[in-house]
Order: sequence, then structure tokens, then C-alpha cells
Amino acid sequence: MGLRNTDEQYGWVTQGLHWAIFVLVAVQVVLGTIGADLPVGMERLITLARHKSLGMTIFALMLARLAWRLVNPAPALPAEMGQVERRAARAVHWLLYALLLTMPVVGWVGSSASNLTVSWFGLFTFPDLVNTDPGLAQLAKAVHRGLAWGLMALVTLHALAALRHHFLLGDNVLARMVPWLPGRRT
Amino acid sequence: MNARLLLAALVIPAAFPALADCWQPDAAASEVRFAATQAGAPIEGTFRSFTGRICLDEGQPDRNAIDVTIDTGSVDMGLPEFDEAMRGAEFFDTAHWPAARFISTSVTALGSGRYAAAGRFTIRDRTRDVEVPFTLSGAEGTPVIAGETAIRRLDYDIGLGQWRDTRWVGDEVTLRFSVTLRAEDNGAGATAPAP
Repeated sequence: MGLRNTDEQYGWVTQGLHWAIFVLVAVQVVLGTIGADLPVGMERLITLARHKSLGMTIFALMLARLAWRLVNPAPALPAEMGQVERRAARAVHWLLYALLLTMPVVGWVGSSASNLTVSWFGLFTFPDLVNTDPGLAQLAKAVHRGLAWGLMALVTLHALAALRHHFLLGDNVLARMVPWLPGRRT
Repeated sequence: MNARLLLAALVIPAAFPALADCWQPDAAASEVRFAATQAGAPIEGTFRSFTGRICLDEGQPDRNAIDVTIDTGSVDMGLPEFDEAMRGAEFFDTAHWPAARFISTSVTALGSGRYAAAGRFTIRDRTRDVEVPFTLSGAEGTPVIAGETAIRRLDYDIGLGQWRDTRWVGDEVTLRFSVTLRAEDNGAGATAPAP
């Protein structure tokens, strides 16, 4: 497997980004869910500071992933996939990109509006996107939460579809994103 | 008269307002801010309400005196839940200690509108010596004093219990002020209107 995508398989760069972002998002769901319910206090501050650092990491990785995708086309889908399925797959993929890029920005807006400048693990800070504004902070929090539910639903759909391709259809759609699965030709 | 004194005599007069009388803050035209850090990022807040008496007499420096009282309940960090926490027992505990107060022990004119105040600063029931460099500028009728000084919040028991960890909430806090003065009116306080 090379760095770049081929016709049969995603390359190391795409696979690495895909799985790194998956793990980070899973951690984010846990941190975000815990943090959102904590009262104002040190535990909330620490939990959400880590959530923000990881969220900005995801944002940077997603920008890299988007750039890589634009110069490095995805492997072809199996020939037997119909138009509707292709469109659905395409829509879900781009929606996932959109959500993973939007959620960090909405979180960043909410943090800025809460007078909490976002720091990346205490090493540097990101500029505030908006001035302190309690109403906007509430709105951003609600949108962030709604997008999180949407993201989890889409990820579930995405994973179920990949499993369907692998186990029911027997094609290479899942295998092309998994390093240890041999790409099955159909 | 040597050259330096001559130069000083030529430069200093009239360049800065002289405050022979005592003045008080015009809180609506003033700012008292504090800057701390959370999770490695700066966070600021303001105090909306404060009163005081500022006497600067160039002719009689020993009569210089500054006495400022900050209403700690007027803390404003932009978010109601933060303000509530700041007024709570772990921070200012405004129910017990509604005011923070600076009382000067000396105010030295350094020339060119610069001053150095030394005094006792009390928050809650903790009192420490602080030095506050500041400048005097502005017009004759509306002088402005501005300056800043750094304190350590834990010296004043600000952020007790869970908040003691200075890795996440920094110990050093910078106090910054730009206060427009107006002639004293029988000791009545000045309070900024709520935004």
C-alpha cells in the first residue's frame, strides 16, 4: 500500500487520516457529553479545554484530508453499484466532511462567545471569532449538540453501509479503507 | 541650576493636568479590568462599580493619597454563570466581602506624568503590599489616570478549593485601569450603568 490512493485501495495518508479522525471523534463524543453536563468548575474547564484542543486538531486534520482528497481521487466504487447507491454514498461522504469541518468552527464560535479563548493544549491560542455574547454562546452550544447527533447518525449509517458492502455484497468497499484486509476484486 | 533641572522645569509644567484638589472616578467613563489565564488562554473581566478618592498635589507630594474601593459584586466576565461563580465562596465571596480596597501609603511623582503608588490592597480578608505605576494624562477638567499591576490571586484566596490548581487557572492576574476623574462631590460614589 502506497501513500497515494490507487484504483483499488486508499493509500496510507487517507487511511491514516480516516482512522485517526475516527478515534479523535469517538473521544470527542465522550468528552463533550461529560463536559456539557458538568457545572461551572475546574472539572468542566479541564474536560472542555481538552475537548477544544482535540476539536481543533480534528479541524486541522480535516483540512489536510480535504486538500488531499481534492488532489488524490478516491478509488472507484464497484461497477455493480447503482446510481442511487452511488449518489447516496457520495452525499454521506461529503456530509461527513461538511460536519467534521463545521462542528469545530461552531465550537470555536461558542467558546469565543463564552469569553473562553481556545487554546491548543496550552501551547498557543486561536483568535476569538466573535466577541463575548451569552445569547450567541447558547445558540452555538445548541447547534454544536444538534450537529453532534447528526454526525453520530451519519457515522452509524456510514459504518453500516461499509459492513453491508463487506459481508453482504462481498465487494472491496470496506477493505480499501482497512490496512489488513486484502482488497477483494469483484 | 544644572541643565537637567532646567530642562525639567521647562518641560513638565502645563504638559499634564495638575490635581491640587481631590477627585473621584467617573465610573461610566472608566475601566477597571483584570486579565487572568484559563487553560493557557487569556481571559478578561471588568468591575463595573467602584468609588474612590484621588488626591495628587504636585506642590505638596506628601498630601498625595489614593483610596479606591471596588464593588466585587459588580464583576462582569460576560457570562452570567461565570459572574455567579466569581461572586461565590471560592472567589470573591461577595456575601462576606463585598469590597476590595486599595489604600496608598505613598504616591511618588516621577515626572512626565508618571507616578508610582505604593499601598495596601485588600481582597476578601487578605491584605498585601502592592506597587502600582500609573500615568496622569487627559485634559485639565477631565484628567485620566491609567496603569496596571500584577498580583497573585492565591495571595488573596481568590480561587479556593477546586480552583487552586494554577496549571488550569493561572496564579498571576493583571489589574488594568483607565479611570477618568471628576471633581469630588461630597463623597457620593460613582457607578457605571449596567450595559
